[in-house]
Amino acid sequence: MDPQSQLSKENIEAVFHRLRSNPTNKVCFDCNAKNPTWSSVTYGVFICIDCSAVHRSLGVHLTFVRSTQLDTNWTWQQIRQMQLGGNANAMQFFSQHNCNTTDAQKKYNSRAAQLYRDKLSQLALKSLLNNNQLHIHPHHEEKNEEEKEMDFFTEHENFISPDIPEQKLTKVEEKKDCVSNNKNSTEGPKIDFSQNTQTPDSRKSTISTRKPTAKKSGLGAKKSGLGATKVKTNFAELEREAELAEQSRLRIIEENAKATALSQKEQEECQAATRLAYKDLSTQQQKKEEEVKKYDPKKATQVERLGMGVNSRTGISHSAVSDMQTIEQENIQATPSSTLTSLSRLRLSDDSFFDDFSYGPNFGMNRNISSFGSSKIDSFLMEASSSSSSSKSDWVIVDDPPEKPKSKMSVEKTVKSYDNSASGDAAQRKFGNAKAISSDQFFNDQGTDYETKANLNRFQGSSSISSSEFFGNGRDNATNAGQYYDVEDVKESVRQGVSKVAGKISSLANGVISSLQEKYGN
Amino acid sequence: MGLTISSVLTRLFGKKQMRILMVGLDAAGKTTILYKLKLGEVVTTIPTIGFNVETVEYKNISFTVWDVGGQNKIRKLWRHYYQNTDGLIFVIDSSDKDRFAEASTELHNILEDDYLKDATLLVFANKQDLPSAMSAAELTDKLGLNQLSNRAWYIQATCATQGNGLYEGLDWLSNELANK
Repeated sequence: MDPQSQLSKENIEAVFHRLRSNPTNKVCFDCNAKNPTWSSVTYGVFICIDCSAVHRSLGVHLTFVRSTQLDTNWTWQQIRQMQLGGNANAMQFFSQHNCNTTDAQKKYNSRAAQLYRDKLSQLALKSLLNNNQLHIHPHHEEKNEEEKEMDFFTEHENFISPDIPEQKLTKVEEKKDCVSNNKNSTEGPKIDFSQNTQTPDSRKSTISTRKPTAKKSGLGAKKSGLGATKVKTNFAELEREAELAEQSRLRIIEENAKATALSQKEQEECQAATRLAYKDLSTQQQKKEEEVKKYDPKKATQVERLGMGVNSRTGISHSAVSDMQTIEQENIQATPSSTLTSLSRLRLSDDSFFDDFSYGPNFGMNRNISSFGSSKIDSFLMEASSSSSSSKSDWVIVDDPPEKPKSKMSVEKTVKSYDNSASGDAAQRKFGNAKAISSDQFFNDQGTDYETKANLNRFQGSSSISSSEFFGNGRDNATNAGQYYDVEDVKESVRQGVSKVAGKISSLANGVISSLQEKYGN
Repeated sequence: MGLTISSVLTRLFGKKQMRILMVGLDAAGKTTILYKLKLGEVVTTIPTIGFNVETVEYKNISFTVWDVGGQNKIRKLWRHYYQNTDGLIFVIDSSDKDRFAEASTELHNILEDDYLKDATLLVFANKQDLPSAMSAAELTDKLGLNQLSNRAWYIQATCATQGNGLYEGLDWLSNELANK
C-alpha cells in the first residue's frame, strides 16, 4: 500500500473514534487536559489545542500537528503512526529515556524524541507493508510492536538481548559490514598509515555515540542495587560472545584457505584492525576474569569499579599499540569478508564493556576526536572543492553581461541558455538566494535580450522578486503611465482649488479693507 | 468649494482602504503574521478556527487583513471571503517540504476563482529562520508561480517571529494597488 495515499473521511473518523476510546488517549500528552482533539503525527500522540499551539511553533521538522476533526486528508502513513503510537507508548518511551521535562523546546529537541520519531515512522512503514487493514487489532498490535521493538533494538544494540541465535547476529552484522565498507570506501583517499588506526576507531564511535542514551537509563536504575552482580552477568555474556567469536574465527580460518583473496586494500585493513581488536579483547577478558575471581562479589562496588576502570584503561592503551603491530602481520593475509562478522560482534561487546565501567566519556571523546579529524578534513575538502566550483559558475554568470555586447554570436548563445532555463527550476537558477521574487522580475528574464542578464544580477542579491521585475518592461511602462495620469489629476484639482481659495481670500481681503476704511474713515 | 478642498485634502492626506485576504495551509503562520503587523509582537497562536480580522495602517493605506483558518475542512470557507478582495496574501511554511504540492494546488485553485481574477498575489515564504527552509527562488518553482504570467505576483521571504520581510511585502502590495 502506498504510505502517501489518502484515506476516506469515514475511515479516518472510524479510526479516531477507536483511538480516542483508549483511556490513555483521553488526556493531552503534554498538559493532561481532557479530551484532546489535536495530535502530533510525528509522535502519534493526542494533544489539546493549547499545546498544539506550542507544537506548531516548534516547526514541522520536530513535530507535525494535525487536527483529528478538521483535517480530512490523512495519509496511511500518518494514520498508522497514530495507531502504533498513542500517548501511553510515547510516555513510556520518554520516561525510559529519562526525558521527563515539561519544557516543549527541550522535550522535543531531545535525543529521546528523535529516537522515537524515527522508530515510529519505521514501525508505521513496516506495518503498512504487512497489513492493509484499516484497524489494527489491539492484541495483534502489541505482538507486532514487540517483534518490531526487538528488531529495532537488535539493529542498534544486539549485545543486550540474551538469546539471539547466531544466524540473526550474522545477519545484523552483515548489514554493519556494508555500512563499514561504505565508510571505508569514502575514506579511501586517505594516507595508509593513518587509516590503520582510524578505521576501527571511526566505526566504534558510531556505536559508542548511539549507545549511552539507550543504556544509561537501565544502568542508572540498577546501579543503586548490586553493582557486583551486574558486572558478573556482563562477563558471562562477554565470555559467551568471546567463545562464539572464537568459533567463528576458526571457521573463518578454514574458509580462508578456500577463499580467493578479495583484493581491496581497504577491506583487508579494516578486517585486520578488527582482528586486532578481538585479540585485545581476549587478553582483557582474561585479566577481568582473574580480577573477578580475586575480588569477593560482596565487596564495595566502588572498589571494584575503580579496579576495573584502571585495568581496562591500561588494556586499551595497550590495544592501540598492538593494533599497529598486528595490522602489519595481518596485512599479509587476504581475509574474506565473512571475518567481519566476528569483528563487528567483538566490537559490540567491547563497547558494552566500556560502558559498564563507566569511564566511557573520556575515552570515547579521544576516539571521536581522532576519527572526526579525518572525516572532517575529508568533508572540508569536499566542501571546498564544491564551493569553489559553484563559485566559479556564479562568476561565469556575473561576468557574462559585460562581454555580451561585443559579439552577436555570444548574444545568441545567452538567449538559448535562457530558453532552457525557462522550464523547470527556472526561478532557482535565476534568483538563487533572492529573498523575494516578483512576476515582473521572473518574466522579464524570459525576454531575449542580454540586458535581462543585468536585471538578473540585480536580483541575485535582493531579498525579493516581483512579477513586474520578473516579466518585463511593458508592465513597468504601463504603471508609469498610470502614475503620470494620477499626478496630472491631482495637479489639476490642486490648481482649481488653489485658484478658488485665492479668489476667496482676495474677496475676504477686500471686505477687511473696506471695513477698515469704514472704521477709520469715520 | 469646501467640497473641493476636502476632496483635495483627502486625495493628498486621506487613507486609502484596501481589503486583503490572507490564506494558506494550516500552521503556515498567518495569524502570527497578522498580529506581528498589528501589534508588533509575537503572540502564541492557537489554530485559527474561523477567522481573524484586523486593520493595519501602513504608509497611508489601511489594510483590512482577513486571516482565515487553514485546516482542511475550513479551506472550503475561503471562497466566502473572495468578494471585493484587492490583494491576496498566500502564506507558506518554507520548511514544510512534504506539503509544497498541497500548497501549490490550493493556491492555483484559489486563483481560478472569478472574484480573484484581478487580485494581486503576494506570497510570504515564511519560517525562513528554520533549518532546511527553502529559498524564495525554489518556492517560485515549487508553487508554479512561473505559470502565472498574466497576474502581478510577488514572493517575499519572511520570518514572522522576527518580522523580517513583512513590510517589504506590504510595500510592494501598496505600490501595486496604488497603480491599479
